[in-house]
Amino acid sequence: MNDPAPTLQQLHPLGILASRPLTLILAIALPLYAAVMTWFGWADVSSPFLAITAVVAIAGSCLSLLAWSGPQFAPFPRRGAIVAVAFALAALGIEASAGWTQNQFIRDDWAGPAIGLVLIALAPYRPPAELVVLGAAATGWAALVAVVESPWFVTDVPVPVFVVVLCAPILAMTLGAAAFARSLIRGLEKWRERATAAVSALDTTRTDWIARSVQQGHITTLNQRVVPFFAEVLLSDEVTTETSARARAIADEFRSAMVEEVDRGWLDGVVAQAARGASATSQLAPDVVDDTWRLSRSLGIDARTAIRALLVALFGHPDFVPNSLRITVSPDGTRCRVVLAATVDCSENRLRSELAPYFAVMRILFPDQSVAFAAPALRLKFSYER
Amino acid sequence: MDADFRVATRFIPEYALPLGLPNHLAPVSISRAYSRAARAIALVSLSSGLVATVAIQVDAPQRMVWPAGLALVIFFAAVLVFSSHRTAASAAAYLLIGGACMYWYAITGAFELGPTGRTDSFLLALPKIALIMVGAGSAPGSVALWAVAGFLVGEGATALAATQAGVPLALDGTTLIVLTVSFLLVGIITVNRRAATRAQSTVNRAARDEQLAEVRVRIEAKAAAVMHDTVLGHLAALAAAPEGRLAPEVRAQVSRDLQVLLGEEWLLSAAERDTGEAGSQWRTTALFGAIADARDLGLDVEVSGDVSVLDSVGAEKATAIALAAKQCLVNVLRHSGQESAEVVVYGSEREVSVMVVDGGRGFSEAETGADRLGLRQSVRRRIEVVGGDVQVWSTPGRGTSVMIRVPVDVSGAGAAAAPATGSRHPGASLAP
Repeated sequence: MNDPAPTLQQLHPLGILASRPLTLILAIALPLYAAVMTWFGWADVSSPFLAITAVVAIAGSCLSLLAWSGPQFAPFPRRGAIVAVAFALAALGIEASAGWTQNQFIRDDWAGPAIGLVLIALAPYRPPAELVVLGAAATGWAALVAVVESPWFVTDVPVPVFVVVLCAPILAMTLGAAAFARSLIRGLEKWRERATAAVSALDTTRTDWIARSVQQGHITTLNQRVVPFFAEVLLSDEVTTETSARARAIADEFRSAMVEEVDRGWLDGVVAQAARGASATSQLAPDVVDDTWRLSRSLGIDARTAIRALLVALFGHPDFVPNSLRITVSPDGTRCRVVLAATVDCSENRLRSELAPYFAVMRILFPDQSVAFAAPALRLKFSYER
Repeated sequence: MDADFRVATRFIPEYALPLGLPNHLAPVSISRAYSRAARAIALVSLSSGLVATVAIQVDAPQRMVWPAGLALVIFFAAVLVFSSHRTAASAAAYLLIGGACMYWYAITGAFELGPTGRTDSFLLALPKIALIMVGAGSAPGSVALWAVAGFLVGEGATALAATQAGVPLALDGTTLIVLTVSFLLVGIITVNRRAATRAQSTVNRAARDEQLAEVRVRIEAKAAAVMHDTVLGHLAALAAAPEGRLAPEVRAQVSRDLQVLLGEEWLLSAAERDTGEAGSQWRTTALFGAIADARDLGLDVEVSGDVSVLDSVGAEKATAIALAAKQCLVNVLRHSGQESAEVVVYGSEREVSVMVVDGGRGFSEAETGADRLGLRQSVRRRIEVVGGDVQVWSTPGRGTSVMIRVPVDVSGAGAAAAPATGSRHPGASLAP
């Protein structure tokens, strides 16, 4: 998440993953639309080569969109948006060149609406302000093209009307896309605020309930050896060699138990909980998590949520083999590297389709995430800043 | 400060938040966003039509196209007034006024504007697009129906004007494409959102579980620190005690702590419920109490710096600082071979720092294994759970410095240090 302004993809990765088919359909439909419009306007074409090149350019724009919107490349980078729009702007210029001196009606030109649709397709992936900047640049370029082309249009209207005809679709779709993204982003942020307030309101109740449960656990432990020992010492009111030896032995035992508890990292707890949820506790290997430095504790809350969701989904997968799970967290300079290895006895297509939403969420939080699957071995790697 | 034993683990206390919208809110949010987008498109379409009208009027003053521009201005105002409400009544009013403006625009100027007087001219399509973008409806189906209604109103108004003007009717491809694209966008978003529902539920559930785990970890850490300061401290004192009668102060502390640990809800202490109302005077702070306890044990503690900065942290953080500092002072007494230590308090706008310095024998990391729980639980973990961090510099033979840093509370003023008396945490009463 290098960009300061949030995007829908970052705030609502699952929703955006679900709407990716929209990007796919647009990516297929746009070159088709361009090709059909070119075919019907063939009489206005002075350079067939350039006319076809313009269609190829818009196809290039769509390919860029398609490539960078894939969950494996999330979050969609700024350079991806610039490349996609640059291809579309090139298509506009080339289309105008292809109809040099012969293009009679600007309203039949397909490149203007195509640029607008490219900007709509970018709405889920880039910040609204960036969409507006790209749209403004595209509108400026379209205005220039319209002015240059205007001498050979047959319609008897002033030049600004041609500019309006070419620019209006771009501007309308740009602002529409930006307004759509902005509204959803605001909705998400408001939801977060409300959720935070709700959590704060519940916190005292929740804290009390958990505190009592934790305290009860400790009292049970104390009652086993510590309390009887202290009671005995207080009653006798004297310290003997045997008293000191017992105190030392109990202290060692107590400290060992506490050290063990302290050493149990966050990841151990999540794996244990996910396994319990899938009734697979007994099938877990003893050394599932290797997090010697307890580095998993330095994960942010969203990152921890994403990992927890992935593990729950993994344990819920019918072909997952619980005792194959190994997670290693190791330091690497200022970063921590995590490797998750597991056996999932199914085809790659099935694995990717069923776990795709979780990988997508992870990818937003860990942009360097890589998922390798050579059936049945799944290997997921990612890193994060400490 | 040759050796830096800082362990780069940082516990971040914060609340888990859901990633993405919950399923029940998504349809409303999407239709609202669609409405905003529709309004933007409508306004741009009408503005574009107005610019074109003005350009034509300026270019040919003898033509009477300005009334068409006036129709667009009224339509523009209607968009601003009605499109933000998204109720059926306001949408109907939008279509009624928009349809009238459309008819007015077409009859008074649009056919003049168009190159050949056709009903499918681009300039005539602009207000029709604004009608399609009525943007009403709270569900995808009703959104689509309102868009169709806008399309029909636009085409109807145009057909009426064309009939009166004697202009032949032609199918308007532009508005049809706009309507189709709108359907596609809303339909695809809706259909695919349903596919994401299951995964979204799992993620939201994971967020809730993470919240609970977060709270439990904080409480477990506090409990472990208290256990260390009380039970382990007393056991250590008994293990090291000379044979004979039990020392009265040890007896008193064991009795008191047992009573507290077994008989009270010690994890629901005042420190847990930070009211931020504690006193701000140095002598009433928890740190002062902790230092007084260490002095009672025989340690000569010199305090320097600006102790008033403790006012900028709340009771929970002040208690954590005090108990951690006390553990450091106890460590000085137990391990350094010195009977004096210095506590330096200073702060900035962002954090409060307390440094405990001794000139004792120091230690190396390898030697801390057996007794590491004190530093880990009572100092480092205790500070980490309140969002701070701890750095330890120690060189064998040259002393030890422990730096405790805690961020100030965002609310700043009003948050105050925990009192040293009255509501002391069980751990604070320990004198090992």
